[in-house]
Amino acid sequence: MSGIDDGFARSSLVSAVLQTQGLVKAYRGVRAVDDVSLAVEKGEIFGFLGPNGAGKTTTLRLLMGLARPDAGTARIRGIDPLAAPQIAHDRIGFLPETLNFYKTLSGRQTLRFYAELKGLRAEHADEALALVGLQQAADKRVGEYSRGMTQRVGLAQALMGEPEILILDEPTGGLDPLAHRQVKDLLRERNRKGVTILFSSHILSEVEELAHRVGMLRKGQVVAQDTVANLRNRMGLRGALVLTLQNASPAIAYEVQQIHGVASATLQGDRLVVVCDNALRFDVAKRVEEAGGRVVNMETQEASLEDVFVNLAQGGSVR
Amino acid sequence: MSLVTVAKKEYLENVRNAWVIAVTVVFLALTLLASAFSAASETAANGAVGFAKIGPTLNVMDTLSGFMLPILALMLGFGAIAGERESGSLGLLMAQPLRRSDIVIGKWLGLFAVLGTATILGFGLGGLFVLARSGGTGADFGTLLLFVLETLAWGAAWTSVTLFLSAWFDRRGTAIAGSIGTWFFFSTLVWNLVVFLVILATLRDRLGSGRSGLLPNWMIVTQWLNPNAAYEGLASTTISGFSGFVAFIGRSAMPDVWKAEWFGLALAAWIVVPFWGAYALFHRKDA
Repeated sequence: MSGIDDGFARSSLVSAVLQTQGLVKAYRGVRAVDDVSLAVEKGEIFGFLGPNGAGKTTTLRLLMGLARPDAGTARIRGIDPLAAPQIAHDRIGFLPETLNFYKTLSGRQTLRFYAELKGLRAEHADEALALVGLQQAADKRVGEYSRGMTQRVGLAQALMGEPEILILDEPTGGLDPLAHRQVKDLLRERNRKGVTILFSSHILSEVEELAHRVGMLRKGQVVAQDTVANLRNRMGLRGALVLTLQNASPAIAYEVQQIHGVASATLQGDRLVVVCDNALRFDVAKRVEEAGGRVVNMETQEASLEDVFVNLAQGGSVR
Repeated sequence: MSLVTVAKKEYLENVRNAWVIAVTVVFLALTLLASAFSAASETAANGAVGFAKIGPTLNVMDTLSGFMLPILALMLGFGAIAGERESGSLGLLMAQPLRRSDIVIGKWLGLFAVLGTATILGFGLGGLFVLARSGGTGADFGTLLLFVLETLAWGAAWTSVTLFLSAWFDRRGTAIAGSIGTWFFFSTLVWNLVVFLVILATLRDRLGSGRSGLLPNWMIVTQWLNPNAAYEGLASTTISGFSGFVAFIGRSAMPDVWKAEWFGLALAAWIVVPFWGAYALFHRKDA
C-alpha cells in the first residue's frame, strides 16, 4: 500500500513538515498526552489512530498551537505555532474535532470570513462551497445546519485555497457513507497533487485505506508508528471478505481458495467468508463470477481496533 | 488585513443583536425625553416652551445612561471570547494565520464600533435634534461634540472591561455572572456607597480649615478607580453646565486634583489596562 518504508521515514525525521517532540499535556493531573513524538513527512498521508479519549484531539491541538504543552515542542514546517501562528498556519487547512461556527452567519458568509482571514479571495469561498456540495444551503444560517452540513462547512474551510498541509481531526465524522467516500476520494486526490495530510480517526478501515503511515495512540502514548502494511504484518492480523451469493456452492469456495494470498474461504449458508487482504477483494469477486457465482453483496470485515490494541498491549506486535 | 476581518465579523454579528437595537432606540428616546424634562423645569423659570438647552439635557442624559451604557457593553462583549472558547469556534479562529493580538484587537474594535454606533445614533443624533429645536449656537454644537467624544471614550473603557471579563472567564455562564457582578459594583449601589464616603471625605473643606475631614484625603482618588466616575469627572470638568457628582460637592469644594487631565488620564487607563489584561489572559490560555 505504501512506498515509504519505516527505515526511510526514520532517517528523514529532519525533513518532517509536521513534528512533535515529547509533547505532554495534563488536565487536572491526568496526562491526556504523554510524551508524544510524531513526524509527518512532506507529501505523505499520515493516519492518527486511536480510540476515543486516547489523546488524538489534544495532540492535534498542541501541534496547531491552540493549547500550550506542559512539556515538549510542536513544529509546523519547523516553525513554533505558539510563537508565530501567523506564519505557521499559513497555507494550512485545519479541521477541529468540535465544529462550531457563528450561528447568525450564513454558510457563504462563514466561508468568506475564513477566506479573508487566510488572505484568499471571495471566489475561493464559493468554490469551496461547491466542492462540498453546499451551494443550495449557502445562504441559510449555519445555526440551522445539520451535523453533516456543519462538517461540510468545516471541510470546505479546511480545503479552500489549496493548502499545502491538511490537519484534519475526524474528517468523516458526522457524514453519511456516501460523503465518507467523497471525502476519502478528495483527500487522495489532494495528496496526489503533493498535499501532506495528517488526519485522525477511530475507524481502522478508514486509516488503512488512506494512510501511508499510521501513528497509534493509546492512553496518551504512541504505541506504534509505522506503515500500515508493516503494522498489519507485525500484528499478524487479517481482515476478511464476506460475500453473499445467490448460488453458493463448495466449488466456488474451492476456486476462491486457489487465489494467491487467500488464507481460507469457508461457506456459511449463502455467505462465503474469505480471509485475505482487503486489496484482493476484486480478484475474489472476479473468481467467484468466473466460477458461476452471483454476488449479491460484499463487505469487508476488519480486525477491530480493539483487537489491534489488545495485540499491541500483549507485546505481540514487536516482532 | 486579518485584524479588520475579525473586527468586521464581530461588528456584523452584534449589530443585528436585538438588544443593541433596542438600547440604541432607548438612548435616542432618552435624549429627547431628557430634553423635554429639562425644558419643563426651565419653562417654569422663564416661560420658554419646547426643548431645553443642551447643557441641562446632557445632565439628564448622563444620569440615565450611567447604567445603560455599561450594561450594553457588557451584554455585547461577555461572550466575545468566553462564548467562542466554550463553543469551540475559538480553536478554529486561532488556527487561521493570525497573531493572537489580531484576534484581541479585532474583537475590541468590532465591539467598540457597535457601542460607538449606538452612542452616536442615540446621543449624537438625539443631541443634534435637540440643538435644532432649541436654536443651539456653534458653542452648543461644540459642547455636544465634546460630550459625545467623551462618551465614546467611556464606551471604549467599558469595551476593554468587558473584553477582559470575557477573557478571564471560560464559559458564557460564568462570564455573565462576572459581568453582572461588575456592573453592580461599578454602576449601582455598591459604588454609590463608595461615593458617599468620598463626599464625607471632602466635607473637611466645607467645615473650615481648622477641622480635619471625616475620612482620609486619599479617598478622593477612588473617583479614578471607576470608569463611570472617571467619565463623569471628565465631563464635569470640561463641560460647563454639566454637574454630575459636582452637584453633591459643589464646584468650589472640589479637591485640587480633580482636574480634567487626571480624569482623562484615569479614563485612558481604563481603556488601556483592562485591554492589556485581556490580551495577556488570551495569550496565556488554551483555546
